[in-house]
Amino acid sequence: MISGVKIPERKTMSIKNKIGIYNKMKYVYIPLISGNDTNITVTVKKGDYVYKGSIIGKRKGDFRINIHSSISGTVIDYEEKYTSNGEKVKCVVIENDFLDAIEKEYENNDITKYSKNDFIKTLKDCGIVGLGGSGFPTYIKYNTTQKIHTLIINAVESDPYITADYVLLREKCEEILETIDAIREINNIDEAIIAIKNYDTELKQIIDNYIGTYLKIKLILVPDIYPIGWEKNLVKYIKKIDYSNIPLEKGIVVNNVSTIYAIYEALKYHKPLTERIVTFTGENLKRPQNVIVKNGTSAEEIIKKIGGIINKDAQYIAGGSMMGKELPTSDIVINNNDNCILVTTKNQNQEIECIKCGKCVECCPVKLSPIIIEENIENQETLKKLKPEKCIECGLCSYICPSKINIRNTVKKAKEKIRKEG
Amino acid sequence: MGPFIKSNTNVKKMIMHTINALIPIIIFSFIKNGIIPYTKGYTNLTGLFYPIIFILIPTISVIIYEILYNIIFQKQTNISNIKNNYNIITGILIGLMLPINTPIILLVLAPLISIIINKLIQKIFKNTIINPALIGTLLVLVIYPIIMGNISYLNKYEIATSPEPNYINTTGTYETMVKPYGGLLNFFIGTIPGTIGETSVFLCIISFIYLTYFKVIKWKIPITYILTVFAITYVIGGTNIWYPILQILSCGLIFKAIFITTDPKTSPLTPIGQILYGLFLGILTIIFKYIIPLEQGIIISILIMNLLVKTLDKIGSLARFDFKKSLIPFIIAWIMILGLSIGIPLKYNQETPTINETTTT
Ligand code: SF4
Ligand code: SF4
Repeated sequence: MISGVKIPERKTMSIKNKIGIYNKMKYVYIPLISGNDTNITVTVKKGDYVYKGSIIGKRKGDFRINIHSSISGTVIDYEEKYTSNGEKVKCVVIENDFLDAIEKEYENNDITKYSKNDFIKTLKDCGIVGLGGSGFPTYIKYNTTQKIHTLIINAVESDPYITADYVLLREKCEEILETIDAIREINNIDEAIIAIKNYDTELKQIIDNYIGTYLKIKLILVPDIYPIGWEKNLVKYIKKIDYSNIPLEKGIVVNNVSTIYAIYEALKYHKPLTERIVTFTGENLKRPQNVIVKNGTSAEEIIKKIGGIINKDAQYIAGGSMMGKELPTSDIVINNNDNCILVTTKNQNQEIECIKCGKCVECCPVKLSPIIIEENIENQETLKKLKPEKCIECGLCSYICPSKINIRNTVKKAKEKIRKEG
Repeated sequence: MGPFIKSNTNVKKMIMHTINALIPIIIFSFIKNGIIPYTKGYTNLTGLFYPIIFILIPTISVIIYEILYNIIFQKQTNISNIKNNYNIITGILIGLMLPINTPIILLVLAPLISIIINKLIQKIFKNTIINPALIGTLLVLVIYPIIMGNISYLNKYEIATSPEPNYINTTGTYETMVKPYGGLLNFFIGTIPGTIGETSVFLCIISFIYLTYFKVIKWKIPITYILTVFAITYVIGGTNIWYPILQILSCGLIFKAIFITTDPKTSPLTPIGQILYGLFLGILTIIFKYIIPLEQGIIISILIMNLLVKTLDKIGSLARFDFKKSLIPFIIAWIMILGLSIGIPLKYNQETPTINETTTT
């Protein structure tokens, strides 16, 4: 049994439209951030000419990975810009010469012709990171001597509104299946499983059309309960096993669809990760749709380009409606962590006194007791035993609360408190 | 701060669902205590509507007191807040849990005192600890016999047709315990004497299904509570299945199990806490029936358990990570259940050997 709650979908508004591409920007502001890490070494200086795909920064430490320029042009400056984490981050400003020049053309007709080492090196060189929001370098997942028996492709997108993986899988199904099979072969993985939601019949049909030739790829339909897209829940549902930190402990690797597509481009063209698909959606957008966005593009520009907002009193959210973060401004630059920009109108949900209904306790997927954590927030000893650090910030407790209390915030606070005070 | 979508349940809806669930019960009590006595010619027009008026008095009193409290002490003039106040159900529940002959003055005073006590507790402990509807009801049931002699549960029609209900119905035979009221089916439908709203077990169960379907109540509590009482009285009653059935159908147990023990603010939040709560409620109810017989044993059991909610939740929240943490209270509960099931028949067989030697006819 996996725990979760059925929550609204709100996906239809952005699902119908084809994927748009935006590359008319005069400047890109490539944020020097990878995952949450802003400790990046810059490798270019003002006045340098860069190709599309040239390395402009390197992440240090255990999760070494490169950051690449997403256009060709001249580095003109450094500037602090807001990114989706709600903070200002130092960015490399590049003026677009609209040539999309790349240093060296490359094409590989058979993407299965990689040794495991070359595969890992390619992912690393191309700066491929998980595109689900964590920014975790993908090569690390495969860089192991342990036997990987299952590759799970997470195409679930359990957060409402977001359809990026859905439309990508719909429109690039052939390439994605090819890539999955290649990864499977290169890494000697026994089977690959694509997980989609059980009501996605359109997607199922499309995949069924192509999957026939890939005997070792299986399609699995998962129930539509939130947060089924959370790796632990997904692995538990599909494989009926629990793991403690990462799925690799049990010989499993999980990747989402966007990441697989990025791997495809890396294997096929040696194309570094310089763009990604982002869902622009929300009741307050005139034409919600998915857009391929170059790293470092201003969200505001794209929103204008796709028709703008309806109501001036707009609220901008990075990420989905459950896990996402409210942005201080629409003038943020998009990077690899962003799968969705949600634009809604501000609505006041008045919090009232807790009625002790216990719903927040019952719904928590990691079995926390949010309201009891709140009651004991001052009591360090008890608080420790209540393990707030396990919270995955899924937001279900706040979602479900009939008193409209933002109880997740309290759990987050408790989490920080435990981290700080040990 | 997110999440940016919220479920469509809210406190107002939960209160409305609870009121909806009570409406059939109110209508039933109107038929039983108003319409039937009227059509049989036992009462006049005021008597016809008396049950409705009776339930309205504490209901309206509570609403007025809450509004006054808000205005005077909270300096809130926006009385629309009252819609989110779970206490407004308190009045209806008090009305439904009292005998029809309760003096009107008590109907007005009991809610007032229970609200005052409740607010004081809230001030001191920063929490609602004791169920206000229960304080009110218990108050009335204690004062009533003092000023009026004995409590009479019979409406005008039942005075002529039925004996007083037996609130400590532990010993007797089918003939003495069930027959005078018609049969077990009457206990189920609710055409037996008792408090105004508690007699119809059938309607209570319908309400329970409704409230559980709409996820309004903590359904684990009534289920474990009722099952515990049933299991123990089943053993006590020997092989006579009518005996445990009678025990759970009478004394307003099911009504209180569904509407009172599940009151959100005074019941545990954690699933394991709720199950323990139900188990110990059952155990206490049995104790106050057989060992220390009290007419208001159920109410007192719930009040005692109210005091333990915090403790049970503490156990319950830790046991979510590791079930072993709740082993000790469960073991205590099982031992007590076993002890009561075995001990009580022994005690009664020495004193009154009539407990279960009968057969249904
Ligand atoms: S406490 Fe954390 S993990 Fe549990 S429901 Fe709330 S946000 Fe999700
Ligand atoms: S869901 Fe909200 S009202 Fe219910 S117990 Fe949790 S915090 Fe309180």
